[in-house]
Amino acid sequence: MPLAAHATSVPVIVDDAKCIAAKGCTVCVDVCPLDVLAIDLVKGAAYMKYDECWYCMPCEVDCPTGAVTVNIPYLLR
Amino acid sequence: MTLFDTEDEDLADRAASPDAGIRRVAMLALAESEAPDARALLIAGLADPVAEVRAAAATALEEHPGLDAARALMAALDDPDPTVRGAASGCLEARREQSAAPLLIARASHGAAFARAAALRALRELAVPEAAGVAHDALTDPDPVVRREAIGVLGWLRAEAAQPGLIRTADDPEPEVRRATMAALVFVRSGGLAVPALIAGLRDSDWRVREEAAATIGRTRLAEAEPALIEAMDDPVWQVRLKSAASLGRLGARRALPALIGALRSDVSNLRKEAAAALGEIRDPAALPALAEAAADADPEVRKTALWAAGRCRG
Amino acid sequence: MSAPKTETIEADVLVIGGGTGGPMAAIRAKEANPALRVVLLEKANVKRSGAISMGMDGLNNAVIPGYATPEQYVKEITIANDGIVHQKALMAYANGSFDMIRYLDKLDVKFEKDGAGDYAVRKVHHMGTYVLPMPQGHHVKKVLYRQLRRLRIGVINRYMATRLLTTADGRVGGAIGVNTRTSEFLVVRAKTVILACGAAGRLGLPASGYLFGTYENAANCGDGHAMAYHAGAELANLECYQINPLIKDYNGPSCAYVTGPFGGYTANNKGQRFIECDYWSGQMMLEFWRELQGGNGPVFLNMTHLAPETVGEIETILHSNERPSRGRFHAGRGTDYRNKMVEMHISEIGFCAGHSASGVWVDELARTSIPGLYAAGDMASVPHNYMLGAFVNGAIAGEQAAAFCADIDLPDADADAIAAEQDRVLAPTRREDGLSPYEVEYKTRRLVNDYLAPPKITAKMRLAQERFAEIREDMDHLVARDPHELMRALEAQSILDCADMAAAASLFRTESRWGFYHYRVDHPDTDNANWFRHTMLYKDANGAMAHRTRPIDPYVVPVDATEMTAYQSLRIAPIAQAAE
Repeated sequence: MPLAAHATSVPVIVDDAKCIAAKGCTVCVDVCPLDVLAIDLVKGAAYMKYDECWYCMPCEVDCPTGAVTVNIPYLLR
Repeated sequence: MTLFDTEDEDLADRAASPDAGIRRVAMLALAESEAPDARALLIAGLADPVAEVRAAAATALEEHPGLDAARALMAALDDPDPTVRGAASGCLEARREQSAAPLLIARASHGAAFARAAALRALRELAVPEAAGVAHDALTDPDPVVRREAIGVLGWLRAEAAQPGLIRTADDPEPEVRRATMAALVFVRSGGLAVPALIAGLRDSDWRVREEAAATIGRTRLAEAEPALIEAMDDPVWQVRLKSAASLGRLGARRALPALIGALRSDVSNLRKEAAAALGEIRDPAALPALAEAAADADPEVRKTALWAAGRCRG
Repeated sequence: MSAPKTETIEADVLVIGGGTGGPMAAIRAKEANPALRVVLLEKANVKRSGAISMGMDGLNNAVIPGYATPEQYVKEITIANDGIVHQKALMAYANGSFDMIRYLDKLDVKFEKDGAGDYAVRKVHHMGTYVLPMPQGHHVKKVLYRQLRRLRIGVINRYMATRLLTTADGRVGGAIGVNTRTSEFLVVRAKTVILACGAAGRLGLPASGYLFGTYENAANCGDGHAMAYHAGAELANLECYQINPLIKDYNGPSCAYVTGPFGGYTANNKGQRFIECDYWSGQMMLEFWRELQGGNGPVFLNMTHLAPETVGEIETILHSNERPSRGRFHAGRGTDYRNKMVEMHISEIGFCAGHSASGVWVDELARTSIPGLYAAGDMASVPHNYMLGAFVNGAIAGEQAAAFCADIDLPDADADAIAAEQDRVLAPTRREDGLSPYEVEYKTRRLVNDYLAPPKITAKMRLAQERFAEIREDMDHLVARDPHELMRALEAQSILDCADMAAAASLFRTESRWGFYHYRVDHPDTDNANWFRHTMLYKDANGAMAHRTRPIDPYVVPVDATEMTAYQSLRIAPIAQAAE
């Protein structure tokens, strides 16, 4: 039973130009209750790694630079 | 096992980094730092050339009590950047630091309107009697936000001596200042200087002022306001009628019976319930027929309140 | 196969769950005795975990002198739960309520105050006035976290507890946890354990089909219920589901408690009220369901008649606290409270004592049926306790655990049990292919909707049990490709345990009670002669799911028969009938 790669649109969007993960910031990754965000070490920015969002918004509200936007997941919108 | 993921070792270096982004992240991390120099680093951060770093430092200082920090935050109320000023103001309010009261009192009469209002807001939380003087003076401040914050300080202090000033703000051109005045007058006693101002508030052009006046009269149990409250049962806004009904109940106003019984037939169920509750407070058997009718109300909340009230009118 | 990386630590009090009740339990245990080693284990990060991740807009059940008495409150909640309550626990909450508000105030939680600095309490319930707004309630978690740091309580984030350790003589002995980012193990040997893992909120599948679009914080998926069950603790009244009236698709509260005091109300598709008491109860949900069934749906929350200033105030509260993305959801659909009603719907099922009544059995001292094990908050059986109840009961649990551990030694850890649990946990990582946690979870939860959601039908619930047994076999094919997926695989197992418990508990109680929450079509009447009792579910000596009933303890606040029916007649009667 091989596993399929399943594409979904992610609700949490990070503006790479504003994200300061490269400066050592991990706020959004730290606060996510579902642990769905990660830092892309190559880009030096956070991104949504798993589409498992409760659209609760600490990542957006706590982000010091306003780089994170939480959209309502498409299935609910 | 590391408890609390603190990475204090290099925070001082990061706070001194030539890269403003790294300094900014360091400021945020310093909020939770237990390093002895954390507060000093944050105070220094308030003077950083980059506004984002200053704002981060102001926010982080919420976690670090101390007069030196309070003083630096008060200076930051004059920061050229509005985000920094906002962060400093929020931080000063949240700290609730009693020892900073003298500094805040001095700050409340100096500088820009934003800083004066921020200092007063922080003082309100402290409720120190020494703040009454500066707050009273601020009642005539040209800025309405400052006037409103000053009223807040005086209300929390229940500052009776401030009544003449509050009588003036009851006529303020700004509705929000008038509303805050009505809310603050909750310490006024029967026969007090400010009673006519509260009664006049029931006829204010703004319904939120009228609502607040009606609520305050109930809480202070001002018997002399009873006729005006009964008149307010004809107010076009139901929220005002609701607060008036509740207050008439607190006053035990038997003369309000016809108005309250009338309100039992309102379209607004919240108001019907409040009227029934008020009749239960007044405890006049004359209300029993109307309450019996209300006991068959479509709204279970009204029914239950009516049954409770009828029991009290009988007992 | 090398032994998994495992660290072992010791604690006097281990708290599992860093949301609301958990931090308060840890704080109070440490305050009771600063010498204690208090450890708080959290699956996410205490800063923003649990049901109040983004704070709360107010206290729904504040018992404040001058507004309400503990007796009124106990009576009210007894009536709202059709009498099936342990009143002593309600009374313990009610008596602790005001002290907790003042304690939170001291810690800098901001409550709404009037012009003189007194609490600005608002009305919702009919016998007292219990709502205390928190306009800046989004700061609650920050305040808790600050106090944890000040007291130097050991906080361990990103470890998911998977099983409790128990001793040969039936006491609790600690817990095993696994790191959600590295899959390393942590064994906490502890004299006492406090479970505060929140609701089982990922039980039913939201109508949207989005697994994480739940009412509860989706991290709260019944881990605590499952751990308590496997350790041998009793769970009470699980058939009394949580089902809420929520914003359709968004699946969050609207929220009637906030809007009700301002004049908002629930209406049908004609804009008419069909129910006048918006307090969440099983009877309210039954009327809601009937309105949808009767062709008068959709059901809406109406605020279009309110003054613009009032709507502005409501928006400020609803769009900055608890579920701030509500504003974004409404904007996406062009819904403005001023001119458009908000479409509401019936949520999927869950277990949550915060709003209903089911959970791990606790008495008035937060004690479960296992010595040394306590529970608090949404997963414990104290009904309708909301956020303030989690704080108060968490505090009780913390203080009790601190006292209990004073006289006992640290239990020995059972190495065999630990090794067996590590094998169970890691099994999905040792497979190359098989079933993903997501499809197993989806299927379980879809079947929960198909067969367990009310109206409850015996034949459907039996079918559910057959399907769940098949999924239990499928668990041997779960694959986790990274530590994150392993967390989801473990959660899928908790979810299946909860689904099985929901079916078994619902079948056991052969009557209808709590309105829609336990509406059994084959047993439509309430049968007080046989079922005026708690139902208790537990794992028996053979490892099978078993039941017993527990008599209701004598009430400490008597409730007479006429009052008991207060919630039975919520539907607005036509005028002609009302006049009878």
